[in-house]
Amino acid sequence: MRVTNSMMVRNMLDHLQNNMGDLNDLNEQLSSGKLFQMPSDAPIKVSDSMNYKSQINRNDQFQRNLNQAENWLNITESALKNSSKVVQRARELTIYASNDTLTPDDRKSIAKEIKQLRDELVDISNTQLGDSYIFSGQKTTDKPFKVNATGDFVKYQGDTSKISRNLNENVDMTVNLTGDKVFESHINNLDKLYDELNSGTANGDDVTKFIDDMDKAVSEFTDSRAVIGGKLKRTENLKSRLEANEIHIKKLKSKNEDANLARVITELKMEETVYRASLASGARIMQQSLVDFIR
Amino acid sequence: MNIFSGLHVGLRALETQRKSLDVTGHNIANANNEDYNKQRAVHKASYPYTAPGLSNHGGAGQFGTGVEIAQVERVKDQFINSQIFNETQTSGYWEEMERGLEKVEYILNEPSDSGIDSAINQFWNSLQDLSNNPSDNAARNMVRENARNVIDSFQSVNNQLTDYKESINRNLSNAAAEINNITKKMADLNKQIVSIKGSGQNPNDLLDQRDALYKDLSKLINVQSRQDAQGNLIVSTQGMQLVNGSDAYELATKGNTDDNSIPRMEDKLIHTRTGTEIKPTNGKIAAWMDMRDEKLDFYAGRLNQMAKTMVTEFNKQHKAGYDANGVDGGNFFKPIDSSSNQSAIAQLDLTAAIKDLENGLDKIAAGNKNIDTFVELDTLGNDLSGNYQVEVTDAGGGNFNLAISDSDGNNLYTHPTTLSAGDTVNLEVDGSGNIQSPTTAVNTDNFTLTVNKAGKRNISLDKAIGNGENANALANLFNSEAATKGTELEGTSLEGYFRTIVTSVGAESSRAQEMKANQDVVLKQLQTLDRSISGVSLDEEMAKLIKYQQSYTAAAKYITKTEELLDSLMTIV
Repeated sequence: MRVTNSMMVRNMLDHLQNNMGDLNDLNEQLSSGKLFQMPSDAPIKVSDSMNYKSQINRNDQFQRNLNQAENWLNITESALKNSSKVVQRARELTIYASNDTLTPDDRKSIAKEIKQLRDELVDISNTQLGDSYIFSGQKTTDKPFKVNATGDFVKYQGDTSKISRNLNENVDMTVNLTGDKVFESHINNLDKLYDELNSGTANGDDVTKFIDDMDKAVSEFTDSRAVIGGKLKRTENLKSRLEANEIHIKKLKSKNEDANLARVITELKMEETVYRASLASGARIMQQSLVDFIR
Repeated sequence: MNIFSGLHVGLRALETQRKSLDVTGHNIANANNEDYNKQRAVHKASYPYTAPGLSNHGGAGQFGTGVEIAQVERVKDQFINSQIFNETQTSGYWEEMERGLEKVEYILNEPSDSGIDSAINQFWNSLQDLSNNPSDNAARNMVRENARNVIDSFQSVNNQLTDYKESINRNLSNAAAEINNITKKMADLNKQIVSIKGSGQNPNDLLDQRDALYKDLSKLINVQSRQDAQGNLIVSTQGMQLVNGSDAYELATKGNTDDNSIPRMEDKLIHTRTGTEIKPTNGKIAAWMDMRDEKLDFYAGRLNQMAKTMVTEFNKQHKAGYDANGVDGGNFFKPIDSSSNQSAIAQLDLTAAIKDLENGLDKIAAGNKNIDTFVELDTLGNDLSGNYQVEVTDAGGGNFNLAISDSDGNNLYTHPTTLSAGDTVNLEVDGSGNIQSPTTAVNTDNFTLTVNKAGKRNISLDKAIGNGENANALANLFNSEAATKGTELEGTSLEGYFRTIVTSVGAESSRAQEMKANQDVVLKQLQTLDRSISGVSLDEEMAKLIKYQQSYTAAAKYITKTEELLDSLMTIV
């Protein structure tokens, strides 16, 4: 084939251009740390990466939801713990008050403490997480129980609805206990006990009836704590699963899109050498011609 | 032959070598002209002396009379040349297709942290946060802001696609002007070429110019050509003549007169002489038209489909919920009017109720109405309150009994007859909160219960603010395939659908890049062949320079010798 000067120049420029293009690709990979910048660089991989990104985003949200659920459960647990203490004390007082040797006046003074305990239980039932009353069902802006101006307690103001948290794809957990189930009968019983003790006519037997109620209260609060404890255990498992999943997806995402820097740098070095070589050879070839030898 | 003819032979030789040196000089001068084709002075022995005939005296004959230049020819392979023209059209097509699809990729702006995908992810997050804190105004605000962000990101992409479409129409009218410019020049060249050819000479440089113009034309649009006997190049596209002899016929862009859209799109290419619309099949213009009429419409169509489905499904779910005040949810997004000439994305907006500065946030329906598998409740839009226990018991034979008690278990209402699955019972709540069957007309109904199967549950007629289940359901619309069931997107989630759009743009763009690279290789190979044949080699020209120079010197020497002969002769006198 006949080779002309313009062919050589054009070929050299084309090759330089190609080498430059390769250098640019590698440079982009190096500076961005990613294997691709545009969907056309790797259409399927881009779609996969977008999918991983949403999964990580969702996982992140589920972990946030889970933390909130844990907060809710922890606060519930501590409220129940305090309630247990209150009803324990009420039980002791009831047993003491059932003693036949006590005078009506003695019982009246015990009644005062029972009333205190009832109010304490009402206070505990009004526990809030942020602005939400946790024992009011979904009526989170209403106090579940109140003590009105005359000192009587007002029956349950909440509803019986569940509050649940979305803790993973298709995993929901009910985090709330409602006041009607947890507190109402016990507050009611303390109220009745107070009336009985305060009546001035109660004898030991009248009070003894209440010991069963107090036993029941203690065991019910313990049961509720067990339920919450179980849920907390479950959130812990879910949390470690979510965390493991997060690491897993992040790994997949990185494998899918991150450039192997060692490889890229090596290749860049190689391309650089090739580019220099083509520059050098171009410079030599273009200078040479018969012109140089004609005097 | 006499002694003086030697001077003529010498003179001819001098002239021929000098003219050849001129051609060489012309070649050297154009060594870097990409459109230039190497020229060659063809030497021919001039007509010999004498013509054979009876009157000729005997002896050796004929005698040569020296050299002359037969013609200055252009070294060109027409077959390769026409291949270059054809491949230039395809190269123009893929060059523009690649550029266009790359632009679409930039417009979609994925993968990134600021595209539609990210906006949807953020919206999803804020809906989840709202479901955790339905009474929190900050959470409600984030939902509204992120919904606006989703709308903005859709509209930004859509606007850019529309702008791009309009810029293609501007390109089109520029290209028409360029074509007209080229064809006019070609017609002028035709005229000159024909007149020079008529005088028996080769218009080499003009032919080069015309070839270069034809190549530029090929880049823009698919053209065919043939050369007539006089040397005219007759050029046509899609059967319509652009150049015929010294006449050029113009192209123009024109809008559809039926089209009322503003700005009026000057989107058609018209052959002005015949008024025919031209639809190019190759070259840059064909790529622009394909981009505009197929690709952009296709992607915009899919995005609009996605936006429409999102609005419809989101509104449907939003209406299934109740808002912060316990009122049934309305539309969240403005419903898409499919009869409008605006695209779905252009119509994207929040409803005035949601946008309202004072009450808008409350209108977001985060709460979920009580719907269960065995009993469905419809409050018919009434504002009710109270907690009840509903018990559906199996009465045998596929029938059920319905009993409703208050939350303490005191029976309020027992349905007098048995019910079968799917039966709806009209109920009323009286002033003291007791439920009874309405005796008066149906329009006083407070609510209805639909019985599905046996079971027992508490129902609350209160629409408490602590319920965030609907916000959760709204979030799930984006990543669940079930949410798009029965829509045009069936089989993929909204998010997944967007990913398929990005993938298909990426795949098409990647294909266009490959096609362009292939085309570049083909064209480069042809051009290398062409330059190999027609390009100027400086080495070659240098060699010729020496060759002609030496011939020139030799011819001059010959004249000197002839002169010496004459001198010798003259000294006799």
